[in-house]
Amino acid sequence: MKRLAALALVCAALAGCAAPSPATPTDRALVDELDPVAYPKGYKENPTKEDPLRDCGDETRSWRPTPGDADGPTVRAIREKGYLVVGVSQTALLLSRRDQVSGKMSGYEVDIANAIARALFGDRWEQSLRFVNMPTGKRLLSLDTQPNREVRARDATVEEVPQVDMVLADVTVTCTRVTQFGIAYSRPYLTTRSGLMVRDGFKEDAQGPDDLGGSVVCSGDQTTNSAEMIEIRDRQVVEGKTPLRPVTVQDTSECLPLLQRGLVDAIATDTVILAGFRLQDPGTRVLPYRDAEGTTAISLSGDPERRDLVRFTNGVLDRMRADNSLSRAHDTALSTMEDRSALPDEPYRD
Amino acid sequence: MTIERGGERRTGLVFARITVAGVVGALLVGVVGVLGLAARQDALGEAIADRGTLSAAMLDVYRALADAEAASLNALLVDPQRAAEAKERFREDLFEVHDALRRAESAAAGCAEDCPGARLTTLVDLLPEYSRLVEVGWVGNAAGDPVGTSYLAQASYLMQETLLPAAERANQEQRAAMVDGLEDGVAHPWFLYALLVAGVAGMVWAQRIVRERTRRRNNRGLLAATAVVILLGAVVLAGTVVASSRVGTSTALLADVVVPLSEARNEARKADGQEARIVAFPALGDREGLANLFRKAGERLAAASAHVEAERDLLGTAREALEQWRETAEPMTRPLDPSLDHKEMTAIIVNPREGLHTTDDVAFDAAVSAVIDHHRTLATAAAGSAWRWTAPLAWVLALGALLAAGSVYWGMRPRLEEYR
Repeated sequence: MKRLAALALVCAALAGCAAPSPATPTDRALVDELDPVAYPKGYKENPTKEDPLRDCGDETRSWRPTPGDADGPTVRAIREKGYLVVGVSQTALLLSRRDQVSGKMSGYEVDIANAIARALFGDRWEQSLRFVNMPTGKRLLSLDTQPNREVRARDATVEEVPQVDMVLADVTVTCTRVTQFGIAYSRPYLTTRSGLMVRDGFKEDAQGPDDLGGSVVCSGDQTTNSAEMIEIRDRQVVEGKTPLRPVTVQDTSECLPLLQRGLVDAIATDTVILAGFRLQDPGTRVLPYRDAEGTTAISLSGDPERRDLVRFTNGVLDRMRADNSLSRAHDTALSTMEDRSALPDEPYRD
Repeated sequence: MTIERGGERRTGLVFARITVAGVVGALLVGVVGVLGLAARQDALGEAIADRGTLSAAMLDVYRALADAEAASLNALLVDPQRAAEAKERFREDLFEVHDALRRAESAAAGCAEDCPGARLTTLVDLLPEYSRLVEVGWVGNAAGDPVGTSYLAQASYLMQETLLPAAERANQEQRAAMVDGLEDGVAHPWFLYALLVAGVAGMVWAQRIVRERTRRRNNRGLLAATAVVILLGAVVLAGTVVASSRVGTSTALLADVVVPLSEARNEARKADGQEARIVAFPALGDREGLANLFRKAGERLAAASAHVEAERDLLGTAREALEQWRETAEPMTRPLDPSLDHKEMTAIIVNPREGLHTTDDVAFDAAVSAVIDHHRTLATAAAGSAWRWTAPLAWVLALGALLAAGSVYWGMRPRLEEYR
């Protein structure tokens, strides 16, 4: 009897060992690598900013066109080279966007680039104009200036940033950029203001950054917008409020997918860019908040021996102002913007 | 008489001990040896079946992922009709990725150590995210919204920085585990050799005792048992040497041909996607990266060439295709070449050269893949041959141990009866 009982126990034990058990779900909390969310390249959760140079006198103002500009050394060199290289963004709907199939560019900034190419090359302008796309954060390194040459000499990763004759990529005029990159601005062609965008239904009473405590706010890396959000966060911390959480991406246009995917709560950038985002996603809302007015200009080399190209470019812009083609291009491109600002009218420095 | 009787009893006792020690020792050597050889055989089998399957599956995952990325970007650059074809290829590639992952998960089911679990989970988790980003990007692009390009850029970044490296690392880890398993499976069983040598020494010692006590020249049973043990040692040694040589052939094929060619193919797949990225959303380092990818693919191809015996024609085709491809795409590797506009760059990527039906990257991939498959088959066959050589050793050892034990008993039984 005892033997039978022992045998039964052994059988039961063996059966227990062999019994199939259902597969258990993965405990995601225990595995570091299992975050099934993809962020864009260069996404920063703790962005930094350089202290802005608030006032640099006339340094950001441009140079008046003169009669001899068309024969200046830089302009002549571009004509001899046979083509003008312009650095642009390709994802700013209203300013410059590329049709990926045809490769054709369109937008307000593209219209300006076309006019400059026409002034340089006449009838051959279309085949003599090359647009080069560039990441927002590195775009100003593409100009041939003394500070940029020094950066290129010591940083091999910058070597591949294409060298261009001018950058037409929604570059806000700041003193810091003049000093840091050694650039010169054209006469501004756009008035901009920073704004904020959220998804429809998100904090419906929100008016501005002070209503976005705890929210993740996305902007382009090393832009005036990210600097502004960082400053606001720091102020909110000092005031004891719940601060917003600035994050940055390499290219401002990457903020829209992040907003749509629910990975950020708001976007801080120029209202013109926001208007383009809104057209692409009507399920978004632009908040009433506006920062102080700024201007956008073409960025060119600030080397004194290349100043003829700055003056020549301003000559083209002035002619466009005179024949109203600039305001037509401006109004056509920004026609969907209800609160668009007028063209800036900044005086020259000389 | 009493003294004589006592001496006989002591001798009988010694013979009984020798018999028990001989029989039990032979059986113990058999049991220990069989267990050891069976464990090694299992390691060999696991290396061939599971690790080999895993490694091959991860290679397939990598290739299909890279193909999917190139297809996703090509769909962005071409007209709607050709975009539909590229999208179809993309979905087929993703199906192949899932199929290979299913095979890998099945092969990893019994895995105890160095398992690819975390890598597979990363891939399984992020593939839906990748697919979503691409599909949304296409929709945005078709609607003329630049946000489509942003989605595709994020998908591409996910592929380059997470998915492809996970597949590559899983392949490398499983390949290393496979080679370790193969080498462990055919390593010389030194412990067994030591036991067999000890067994022979014990038999010789027993023979001497028996000879001294019985004044007979040799005990035939002990002699037979000694011969069986020596024969067993020789059989195990010979089987292991042959199997080891076959595994050497297999690992050499893998290391000298399959690995460098797989790497060449991977670099070429990356280059294919890189070209499209340069056109669709150029970024810092893209052009230099393309030149590096071509260079690395060429170097890996050259490294494998010296060891490829069969399919040399195909390797020549691959080399030629790579050269042509590199030559055609050379302007895209310069920091800036305004002589090529968007349309011309797109044409380089998606159009075959005049008179050809396929692009050079496809020709390269097909030729290299054929050579990889051929040599992988050869490597698997060599490893399988090693397995077949070592598979009977445990049985032979078991039979030999029984025979040796029986021989000892057979040889000592008359003496035991004589001195009982």
